[in-house]
Amino acid sequence: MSLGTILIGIAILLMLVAYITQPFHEIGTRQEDTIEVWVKQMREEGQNTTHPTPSSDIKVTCPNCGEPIQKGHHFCPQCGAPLSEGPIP
Amino acid sequence: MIGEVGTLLIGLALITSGYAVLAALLGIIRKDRRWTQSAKNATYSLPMLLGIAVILLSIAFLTNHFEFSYIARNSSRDLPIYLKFSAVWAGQEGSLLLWSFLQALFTALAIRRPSKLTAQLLPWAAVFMNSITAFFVAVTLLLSNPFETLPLPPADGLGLNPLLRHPGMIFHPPAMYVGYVGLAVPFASALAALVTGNLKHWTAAIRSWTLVAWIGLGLGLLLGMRWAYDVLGWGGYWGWDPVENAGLMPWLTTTAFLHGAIMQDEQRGFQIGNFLLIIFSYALVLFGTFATRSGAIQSVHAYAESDIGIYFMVAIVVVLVGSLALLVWRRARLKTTLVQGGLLSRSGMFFLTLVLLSTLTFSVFVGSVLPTLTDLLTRQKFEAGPAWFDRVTGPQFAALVLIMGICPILGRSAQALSQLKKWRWLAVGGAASAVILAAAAGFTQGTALLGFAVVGLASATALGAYGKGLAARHRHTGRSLLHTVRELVQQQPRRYGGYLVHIGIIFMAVGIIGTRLYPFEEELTLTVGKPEDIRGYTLLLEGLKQNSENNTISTWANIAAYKDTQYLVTLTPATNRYMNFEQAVGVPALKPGIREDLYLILAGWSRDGRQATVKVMINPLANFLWLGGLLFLAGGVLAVWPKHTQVGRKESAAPENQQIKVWRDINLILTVSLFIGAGWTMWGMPHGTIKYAQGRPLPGQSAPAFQLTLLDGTQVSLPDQSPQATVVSFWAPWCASCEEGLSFLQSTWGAYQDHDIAFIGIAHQSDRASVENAVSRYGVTYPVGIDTEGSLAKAYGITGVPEIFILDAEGEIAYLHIGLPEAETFIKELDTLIGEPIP
Amino acid sequence: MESKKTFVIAGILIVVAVIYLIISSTSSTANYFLTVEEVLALDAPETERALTVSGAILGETIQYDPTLPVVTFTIVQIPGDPQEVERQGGLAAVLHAAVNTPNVPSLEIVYNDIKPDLLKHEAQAIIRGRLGDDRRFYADEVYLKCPSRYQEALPEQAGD
Repeated sequence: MSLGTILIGIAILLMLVAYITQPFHEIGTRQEDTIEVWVKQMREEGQNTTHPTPSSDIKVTCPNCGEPIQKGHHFCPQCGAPLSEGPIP
Repeated sequence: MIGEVGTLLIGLALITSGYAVLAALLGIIRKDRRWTQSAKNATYSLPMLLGIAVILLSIAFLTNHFEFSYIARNSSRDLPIYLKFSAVWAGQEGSLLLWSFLQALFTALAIRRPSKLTAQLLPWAAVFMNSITAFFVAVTLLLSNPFETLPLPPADGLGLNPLLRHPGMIFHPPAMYVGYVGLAVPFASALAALVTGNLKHWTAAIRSWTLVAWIGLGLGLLLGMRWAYDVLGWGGYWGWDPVENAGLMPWLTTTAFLHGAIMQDEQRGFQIGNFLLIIFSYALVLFGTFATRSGAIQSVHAYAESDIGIYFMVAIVVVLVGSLALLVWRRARLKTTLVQGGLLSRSGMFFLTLVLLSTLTFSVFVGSVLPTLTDLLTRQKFEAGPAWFDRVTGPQFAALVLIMGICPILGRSAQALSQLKKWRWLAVGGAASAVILAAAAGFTQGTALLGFAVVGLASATALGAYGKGLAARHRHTGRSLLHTVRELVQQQPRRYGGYLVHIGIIFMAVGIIGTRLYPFEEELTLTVGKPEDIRGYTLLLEGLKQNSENNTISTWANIAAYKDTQYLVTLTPATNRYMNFEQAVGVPALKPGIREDLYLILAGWSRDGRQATVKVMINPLANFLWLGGLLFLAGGVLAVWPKHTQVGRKESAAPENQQIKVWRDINLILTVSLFIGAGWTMWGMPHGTIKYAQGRPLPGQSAPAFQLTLLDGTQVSLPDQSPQATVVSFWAPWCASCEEGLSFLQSTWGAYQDHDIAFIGIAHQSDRASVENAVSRYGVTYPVGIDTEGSLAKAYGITGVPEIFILDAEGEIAYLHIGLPEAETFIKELDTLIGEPIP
Repeated sequence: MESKKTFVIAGILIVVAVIYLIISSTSSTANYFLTVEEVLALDAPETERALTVSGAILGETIQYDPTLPVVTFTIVQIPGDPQEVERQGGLAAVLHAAVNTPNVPSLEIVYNDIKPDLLKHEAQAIIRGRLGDDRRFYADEVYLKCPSRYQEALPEQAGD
């Protein structure tokens, strides 16, 4: 095994290990995630109240997974449930 | 160093994939997101590790590192670059590495952006997918390492087997691997669904992956068929060889699975069926690899046997037993098939489709292992040849096409019978017109007519159903027809993609009926200059040529083909002798046509180069097969196209939508290139033909008229005073046999001068000085002129000198000679002409 | 459920039809798959059947007349059982041994077609056809596998 190989090998190994163990190094990851989610939700709520949605973009909700979807679909694009009974407005 | 780093990377990949499995499991069990994230990171790093290994291997190939045993066996210095690159997957070690890389890549892509739907399945799916990666990497590393070195590096490699030097063979393995590896995603998701108990929505989640895998398999099979047709020189494209079958079977089960998944998404059950289908599909994928590598199956395709066969066998058993065990464990939760409507409803038709595809897979499997099977059951070994397969699978395929024809008219309603009644005239009309057309075109065999009837029915109902939908929409929106088509296709790509696939299959069925039921094959020995008629074509051997370069001696025959005295093309079937391999490979010449393909193979030639024996094959309707194949692929691609959702201006500017647009554009470019590439492979590539501007006039045809300025300045024209015979001879002073010809023609001219015969000598591609020199040297007294612009040569379609045309009193060609004729023959021909009474 | 029964019956009918197709095709169109020894041991009536025979090619016996065209060559016995082949060291070893052993059972093949590209010494041939009255085997189809296609001996190597 040449020196070059050993050096390259060590480099790759170090990068690999660092990447794989990254989640264990981040303290407070979960908290950050939660804050991000809250901020995102607040932003969306803000958008909904200040910009009334044009009628052509009326969103209805899928009865199965609750995701917002456009009117006119026959199947929910998120979970695939059929909307034959009509989505819940 | 390349080899060591490569091996190191594969080793790290093995450890990482093992870790990914464990970490994902820990993440699930402990509900700890850190472990799950770590598993994700490990999964993402795998395609990088293996990708670099593949790149290193490619570099080693391109830079001729023959110290690697794998490279020495599959490459050589004189190989062109694109073949050196494709040699990476020409053999077992490289192809397993490529497989491992694709497996890692697809796993990473699959877990990248989970929708709400897949999020529940993902951790477990990742466990299974990474286990598969680990298996393939382990096999590669421990049993089949492409970076294995030789103790003494050879100076040059053995080179790529000549049979593999064709675009079909270059793209066929990667396409097949996209298919094989792609199936791992739905398979792992199915297992994940079973483990998590989330049994309803997994089919919707992996729909795109299944389609991509299905397209990959389809493309791979199509390319393999085209390669066989172009290269192997037996005029066929499918031999029912066990290895071919091993690629066909997973495609059949995946097709069944796609249809079953549609049913499941429409809440019509088929749950158990779908699980079984995907489990067997993946088991068949492993079986396919096993079959190509283990030597247990007698086949001409297989790689040499190696020890890894047994490990794949074990893997197949583990997959089957484990998956079926999971299925049994969850049986209580699996809904039984919700039947809506009878056999003649959508559900019914889909059910029959699944049954037929399964029986087809079963039939193909039985045929492939028939020797072993019959040996066990009857102590006598039987082998299934093409006749067996055609007989067993033919009716099943025909039934499938029939169902394909009935399906569009059933729609989604349960009132199927009334629907059928409405359409019966269209269906019958379609069948009848197809039969009449076919019979008129000459296909009158009973089986063929039956096949065409089914095809006609399916086409009529398909067109009727799509037309109806199109018309309804058109009326509703009032926009142009083109706009309506675009709209429908953009909004429901899956549905219209499916329709296009079915149309493609119909075309392929036509091609299969033509080529399988009306094979034509005959051997013919041709003599230079003597046209021979065969099956409506006239073939004229112009000559044999030889060329040697790069350790290869090529011999080919130039054969001009005419249909009804109209020149078509010049075919050049060849034989290449590769000195490295001590092997001769036949290169067929192919002239494609709408009605049939003309296909020539050079069998042998006489030592003096004046005779060639060719095998002539005529393949009726062959191009319907290839066209159908392309349509079928196009349909698949359309089906997997992202739906065109109506987004407002503001939303389309949003970053995610922009990203989607970029992806869509990339997809579009890739797909269009794919189809251009596939189309070029079929019809664009040279297939051993040369098209000259004009063919020679054949005996019986009028000689082209011309005017020629002679050496002495006077003009001579044809047709002239209509002598009983006119000898038009093309020659050149730089051609040795022409000089012989000059003295011969001169002496003959001298002998026949008193008779009503004209001689005209036309010097081809020559300058005045050398022509005059030759004329004076040989004492030529008959009229000689120079064809300065080459227009006469073109009109007479000559491809070399000397060539002699003898015209009769009506100005028609009576005889032609390529090369000098025998003196006796020439004189006899002249005598015949002047002996004939003038009409 | 009423309609479910229809489905099941239809499914069973199809399966039965397919099994019938398989069995009838096997008895009528499938070939007996035999070794050279077994072909030579056949009794007269069975020689009318379509047969498939597998053997190793003796290169020096290959004769080709391109004008007809017709190829004749002789194949020698190799074991039919894949496990036996494994036990004797793999296909390449078996083929090599077969062509170098004197007095092995051999069969002359007559093939009225173009000489196949891969037809050469020591290659494994799988041949479909019929045994003629003259004890020569008249081939309809010849399939060949180069013995060392993926295990070529490497050039310029000293030692093993």
